[in-house]
Amino acid sequence: MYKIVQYSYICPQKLKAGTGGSSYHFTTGELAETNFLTALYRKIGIDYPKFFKMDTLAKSGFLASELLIEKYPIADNDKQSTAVICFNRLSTIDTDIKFAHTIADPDNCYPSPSLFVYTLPNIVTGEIAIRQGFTGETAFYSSEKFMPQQIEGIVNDVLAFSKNVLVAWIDIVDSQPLALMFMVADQDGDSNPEFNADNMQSIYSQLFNPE
Amino acid sequence: MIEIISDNIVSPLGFSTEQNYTAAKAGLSALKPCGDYFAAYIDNKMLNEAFADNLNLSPDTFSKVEKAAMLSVKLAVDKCGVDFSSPRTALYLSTTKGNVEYMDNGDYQNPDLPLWRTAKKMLDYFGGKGNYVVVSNACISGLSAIISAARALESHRIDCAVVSGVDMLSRFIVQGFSSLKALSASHCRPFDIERNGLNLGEAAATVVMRRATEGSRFTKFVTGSVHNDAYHISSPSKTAEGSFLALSDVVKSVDPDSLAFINAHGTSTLYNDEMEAVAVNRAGLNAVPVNSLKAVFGHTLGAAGIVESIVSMCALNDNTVLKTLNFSQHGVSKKINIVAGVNQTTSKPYFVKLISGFGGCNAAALFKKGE
Repeated sequence: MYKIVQYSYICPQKLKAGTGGSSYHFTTGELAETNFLTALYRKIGIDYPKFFKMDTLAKSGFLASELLIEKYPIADNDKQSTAVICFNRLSTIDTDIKFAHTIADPDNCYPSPSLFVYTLPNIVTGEIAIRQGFTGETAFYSSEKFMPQQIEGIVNDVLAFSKNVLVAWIDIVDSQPLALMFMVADQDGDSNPEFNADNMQSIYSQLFNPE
Repeated sequence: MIEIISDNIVSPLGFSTEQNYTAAKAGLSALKPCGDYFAAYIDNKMLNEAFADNLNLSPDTFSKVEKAAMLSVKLAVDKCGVDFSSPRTALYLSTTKGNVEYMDNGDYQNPDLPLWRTAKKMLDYFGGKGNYVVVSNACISGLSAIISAARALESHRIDCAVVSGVDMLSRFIVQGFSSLKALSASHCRPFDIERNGLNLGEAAATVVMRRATEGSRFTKFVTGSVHNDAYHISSPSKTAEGSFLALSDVVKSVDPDSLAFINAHGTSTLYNDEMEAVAVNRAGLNAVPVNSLKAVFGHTLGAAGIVESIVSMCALNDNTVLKTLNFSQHGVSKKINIVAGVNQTTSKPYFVKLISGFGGCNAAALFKKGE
């Protein structure tokens, strides 16, 4: 049966990030001099300089995948059948605006190629695939809101030929990231929740709804 | 198996599948010089007239992306009839940048900027019940959407999928590709030794899909596959990892000799065309004819996978392998069989659509001739 074998989340509004088992808490003092994602990168303690070139969407997905894979590593043999499927509401509008500013004045138009690449929402799936060596399916979908029924359907279809699927809802609202990433795999036993819309919704609500 | 019961292409070459296929077969091109680059733009006046005539709506309150996509869906569904009011009918919208053209005018807060807004606006017109899926997977979006819809049909989550792809050439998109030094100043030459970049094109295209019925005579979608290179976000893998894996997946159940052709992405950039040659070679398909439609339509971004699948379906059903317009001298390192000079005839039953995009994504799909 397909199970949510682990999940990770990033929630700057509540000053926390973590996984189903453990979490990082931030103080406002810690965040006075650096932004949340950079602070989280340092707390996780990884060394991946490409991180600093990414836009906010890619950084969020990347860090969520780091948190997840630390708890649920993928064997080399399974990397060709590990998929990364992401969903969000505002695609890359946050980065689109930044790129649009660079071309707004026709007499002073210096578009940045590195910024333009990040105006494609699926780049985050590519960043995760590159970091982890995943050559399975990658895809990006956009919807009006977190729609766990739609996610369940699309991901179940991908599970039919994939060993593991990283499933994420990642959005940037008013420059603030929010990420929830599930690791879904076929697993026996009762220890983990079944992969379905209700369980995704309940984890989402528990993490992000106002307390 | 899945069948394609209707289709439409809206491009500068015409607003019907037939006009577009006839033009491609005749070796015509939508591409024209536009200052320092070549591109294919849909004429605004013609689009507005066709939109008003076919949809009975004023063109003034819709963006070019919305008009082209809605016109394409309307012309496709009018040919077969689709019950949009059924909760088991879904609209799949494939687009890379949707209504980003609003940002060209400094309108960064337009409520229609989110990609799903375009899908909802389309469903509102067609009387849909809100069942939509928006796919934004860079240049493979169109084929990604077809594959995603086919799976939803096969797992009986829906009974009918209307899959529409669209992108228009906002200044945003042109400046972006220009900044990547990806645009050619001349008419593109896929797989040619002299190729030096791509040309962008505008199009919307739509396919209507359902589970194949007994004795069906329609073109079939047999299988599809998507794989990432896990190599680089904006350059293709040197070993064509993802493209090779996707291609291998879709041809494993058929005899290579039954493949009429592979319709490649063939953007006419140095790296893409070389990478695809490596993928075809690695898959042991050097003898299979390979063509590209980019010199006909340009790179139509979110519409590309759908436009090129439809034109290839027409060719297959017409026993034809279209030539690669503008190709003259072999310019990739592997001895793949690029269709040069003139169209060829074929009686083989299958073709493969191959496509790749930024983010390292690659897709392939196998289609079977209608009877």
